[in-house]
Amino acid sequence: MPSPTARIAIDFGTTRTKAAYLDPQTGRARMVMLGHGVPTLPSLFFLERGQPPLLGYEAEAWIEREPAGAVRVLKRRLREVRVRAGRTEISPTELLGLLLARIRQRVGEEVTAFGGVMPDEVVLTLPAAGSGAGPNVEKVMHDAAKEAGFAKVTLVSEPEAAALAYVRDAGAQAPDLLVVLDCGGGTVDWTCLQRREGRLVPMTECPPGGDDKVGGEFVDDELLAVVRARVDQSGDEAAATELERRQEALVGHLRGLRERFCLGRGRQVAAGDALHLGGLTVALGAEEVRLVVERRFVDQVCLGFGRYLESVRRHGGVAEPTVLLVGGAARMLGLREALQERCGCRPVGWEESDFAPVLGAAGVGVEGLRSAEDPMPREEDTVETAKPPTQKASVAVEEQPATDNPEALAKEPVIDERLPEMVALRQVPPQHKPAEGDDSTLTARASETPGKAAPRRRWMWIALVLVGATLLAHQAGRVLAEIMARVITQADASQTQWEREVETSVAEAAPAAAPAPAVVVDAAAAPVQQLVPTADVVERSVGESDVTVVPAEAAAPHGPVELSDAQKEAVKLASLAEKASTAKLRVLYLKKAIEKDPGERQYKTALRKAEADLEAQTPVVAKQAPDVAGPTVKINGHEWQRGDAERRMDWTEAKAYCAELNLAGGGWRLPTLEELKGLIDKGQPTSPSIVTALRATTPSAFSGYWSGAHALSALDQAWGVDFSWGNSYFYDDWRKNRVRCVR
Amino acid sequence: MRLAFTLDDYQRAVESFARRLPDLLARTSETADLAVDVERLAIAETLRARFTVAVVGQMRAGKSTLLNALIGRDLAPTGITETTATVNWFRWDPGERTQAFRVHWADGSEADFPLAAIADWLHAGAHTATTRWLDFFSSSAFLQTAFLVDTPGTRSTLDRHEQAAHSFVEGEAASGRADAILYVVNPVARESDRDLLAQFGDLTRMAGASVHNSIAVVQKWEHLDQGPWQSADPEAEIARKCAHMFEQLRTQVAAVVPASGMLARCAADPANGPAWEVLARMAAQCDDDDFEVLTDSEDLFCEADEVFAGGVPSQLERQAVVRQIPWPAVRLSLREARRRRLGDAAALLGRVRALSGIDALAQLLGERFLKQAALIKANTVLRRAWLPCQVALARLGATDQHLRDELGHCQALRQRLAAVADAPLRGELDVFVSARELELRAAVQRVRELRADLDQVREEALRNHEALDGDLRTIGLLLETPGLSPAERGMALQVCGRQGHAIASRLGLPADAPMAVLVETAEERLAWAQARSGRGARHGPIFAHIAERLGQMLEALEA
Repeated sequence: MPSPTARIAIDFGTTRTKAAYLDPQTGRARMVMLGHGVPTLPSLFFLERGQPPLLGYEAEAWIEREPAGAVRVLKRRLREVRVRAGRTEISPTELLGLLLARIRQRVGEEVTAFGGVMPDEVVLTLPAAGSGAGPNVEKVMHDAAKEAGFAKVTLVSEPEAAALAYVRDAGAQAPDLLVVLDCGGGTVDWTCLQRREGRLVPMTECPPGGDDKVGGEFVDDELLAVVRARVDQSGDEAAATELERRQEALVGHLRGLRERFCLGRGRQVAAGDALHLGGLTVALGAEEVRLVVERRFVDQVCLGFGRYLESVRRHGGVAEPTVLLVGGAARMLGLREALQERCGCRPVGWEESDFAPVLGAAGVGVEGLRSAEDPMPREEDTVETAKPPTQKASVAVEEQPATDNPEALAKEPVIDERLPEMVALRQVPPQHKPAEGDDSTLTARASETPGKAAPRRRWMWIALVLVGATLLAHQAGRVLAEIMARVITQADASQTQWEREVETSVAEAAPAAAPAPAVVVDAAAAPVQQLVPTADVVERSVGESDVTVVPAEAAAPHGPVELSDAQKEAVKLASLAEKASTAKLRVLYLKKAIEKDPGERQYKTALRKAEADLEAQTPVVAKQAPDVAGPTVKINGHEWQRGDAERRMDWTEAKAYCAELNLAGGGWRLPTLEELKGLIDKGQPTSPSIVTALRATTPSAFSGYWSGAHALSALDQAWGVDFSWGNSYFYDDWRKNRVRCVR
Repeated sequence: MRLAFTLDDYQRAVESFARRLPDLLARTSETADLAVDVERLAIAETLRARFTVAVVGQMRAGKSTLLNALIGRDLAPTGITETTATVNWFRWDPGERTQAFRVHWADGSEADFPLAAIADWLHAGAHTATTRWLDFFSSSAFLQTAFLVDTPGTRSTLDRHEQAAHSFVEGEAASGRADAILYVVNPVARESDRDLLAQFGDLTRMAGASVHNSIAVVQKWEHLDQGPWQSADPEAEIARKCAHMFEQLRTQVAAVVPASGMLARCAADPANGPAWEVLARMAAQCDDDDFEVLTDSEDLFCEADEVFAGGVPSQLERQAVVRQIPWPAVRLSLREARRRRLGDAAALLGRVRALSGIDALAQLLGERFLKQAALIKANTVLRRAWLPCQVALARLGATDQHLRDELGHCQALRQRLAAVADAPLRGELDVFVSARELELRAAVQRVRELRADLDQVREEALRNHEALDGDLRTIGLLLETPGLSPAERGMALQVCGRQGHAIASRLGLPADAPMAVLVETAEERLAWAQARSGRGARHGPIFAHIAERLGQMLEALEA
């Protein structure tokens, strides 16, 4: 029954060209093997004066020897009148025509489904935006296809074709709004499609866009740069020479390495992946590859696409539009996770998403959704193809083979954990009228946007300062109150201006300076020590914060020449302290020395250091607030430590602390950034901006907490949230922050 | 298509793009509303206006302090809280107006006030809500080349501050727009820094364009006094820090540089002279133990004389120092003076000025912003006119499609009519369908022509932009990439227009060189660049751009 097909779909990409056809036997789209066992052909051309142009793999081979003859990225140069290589030039239409003719011939000769006849109908994909798009490019493509001998030419936009492939493969009803993120070798494009009159058309308020400075090739070039740096570093001249000679091939090798690495989800780079250059072996580490991928690809895609997605949400009124992740670079390591985390979308991939545009294009006109026809319809073309579209659509759906067999589908290698959902989608019975399809899948995912943060009141803060000042005044006397008053009223403009700024910025920039005081205490702490005339060490607690006021002793003059007995003893104690093996001993000796000789400044400086050392070594015990029911509390589905770790620690310590925490059983860890942000409650009237359940056990200032997430692109910084006002930061990982574990 | 090689040509090309756009858009009803949008952009005015650098950042990042340091005068009010409440412009004025500031009220009127009256416009002051913006005036040299704008901090505790800052960054503020920004960050970068920068970039740059109109400045780093800061060379440490930040922000800023407005102002204030003397003397003369005590904390620094062994200036002198100079600056200068053995006040002062990074910043601004001012302005205009253009193309595409569907229906109908020989009303239907078909054909034709025209205009502007933007990016790469021979680097820089933008200068030839020589040189260089531009080649991206440019030059020469 199946008759040979006469139609081929071709995706002329920036770096690679792909072709597909609809297999008359199975009704499914199949890729054509354009290379030896691979479905792609390099979009490369080689020109030489007086010779016919070479293309594809042949061109690649020649370019390695003779780079000056290369014509690359023709896709972006289709509008030019002529393209040049060396001293030769040719029109882009002619060059593209040659490529299309080559594919046409090859398909006719080698693909049995065509029954030994060259196809006379072609579906060409073209981008939705950028230099490779637009009516003037459409004309070039149309003319090139005609030159290649195709009688009928249909053009379809790449994102639309990809969406068609998804709809066909997933067996799903096309949602009303669909965003296609197409990650190619040399460009990343994004398009929002809307269903209108049974067709997917670009949403006009969010015109398609993209970034042509990002793609798989940029990553591979960067990897080669890393290899090159290594070779340069080694000083091995033979290796350097070989590197220059084989650079084009090495890029290909690195692409393979990167693809394998990304498919293995970054676990390891196999030992066989090392490069041998002369006598030198260069092996890239997993972390190196990961970093390059992140910096040169993931970061940039998330940035551009994130903005686009935002405008789609705004204009489309859909909180979580379906995002199709397609194209050869879509499997780039970390992209999916980053899109989820940073752009707040759940990208959909499926087994054919690598080649979605061309596979979708192969089914154009046979699918439930129509696509663009010939943009330059001549009279005869138009008459021939213009069938009533609704009729075509419904017929196509009825004739569609039963693809919703869950067993068969479960065997297919579906990417990621979405399998159950995909099967569920496929089990939805086919709709006969696509235009009236239900959009339950869409609405089910729509989530509410979080409420806006309540406005903060500056006077609340000032009130806090005043309360703090009063409390302190109780403890430390009248002089202190005066200082506070000076700070608050900003009395002396010219002189205290700097001082004020310094105080606040110190409070902000160096939160590890004091254990856990309220803001006011820290801002005034320095003057306190200088001015309060008491002799003893006073330890008091203000509210929940532990405040230690260490005032200076009376400024009693001591003998500058002769050392008293007590002073001599102090010197002895201090020297013992110097030799002490542990910080604890040192603290003890120094405290004694200070008792004997309170006038000696150096002891105090040394004591401070020793105490800091001691603190750093003290084993950590979870602090429990006295008035709460249990040591843990359940929030957002996770169990949190109610109080935080007793001291602040750097990020590495923090991780270890959580792993070892033995609180109501183990299993603790640092929270993810999202989990930690989930605790922010900007609606609180005063600092800290944290959910009510944890307010009692969270300080209102210097309230930076670690998350388990290392910040992007920097190895020694990690994310944290400061609950004072609920902002997230990337902190240097040596910084001492607070820790609250979760499980 | 004629490509621009000089900045003037580019500016003209962008201007003509922006001017032609409204006419094109007004041609059909589908796009007429967009024409209004484009006209509202006031393209010509934007291009003519003085180049403006906005200082933005989160609250209390020290924006006003940095601005004062750049102007060289304490004009912008600074303070302990979120001081700046309004958008404040700093304009150049040779004299008379510098003792007053001008208030632009919300009702459109304006009035001058003496500088002392500023308190009502700070923080949540009485007049902040009824003011649109303030103008300050100074005869500072910096302001002669570019205006500066101080904005209230973002992430503010006051909603009004937040709104004022954002509307300025988004270019919606009544007072005007920024062409470039100085993004002031604290040494601890925040998540939202990236967002704000991305937002600015989105509004002023094409996707993927080089980032020559934003620079991030790390301020207040002198306050850091923990971790590696305690021991390390502060300059090296802050440089390392900036390099890290640059890694994170490299798609949004051209550079991350350290600067300390506070150090700069301290060094510049003549009243501080005696204080520097004291510090220099102290650093040179005291012993190690005393030095440790002195740099420990402000209270120990001001301790009684008896505590110190000798060579330490008196308590009164020391107290005077910390009254003049903020403690972090005191500690930093003491440590610097000691480390580098700076014996006298002049040397110390010079060192502090260098550490403040303010001169380096001003120079960087000159190079990155002011020399490229025309280009940056044209890019901003292009970016703004771009969206309506894209929307128009998308709409026309949809219309085109729709019309062709209709046409298909018509043709199918006509065929079916032809098949039924004796249909009732056949003649009338035929006439109706044919007329409709003709109408649709005309409409398709109209839409198609407009699409092609718009596409052409847009592509021309984009090509020009990409070419010049590529020049800038490649110059950047050429200057920072090692391993190129000086001859090759020089030739490549020439092609990118470093020695002049005209084609002859780009080819290293005199302006009156004969055509044949120009063509021959271009061809030679093209072969050279193409041979080096292979995939994976060392400096491949550089030479790919060079080759592209040379190809374009040849085309222009032949035309």
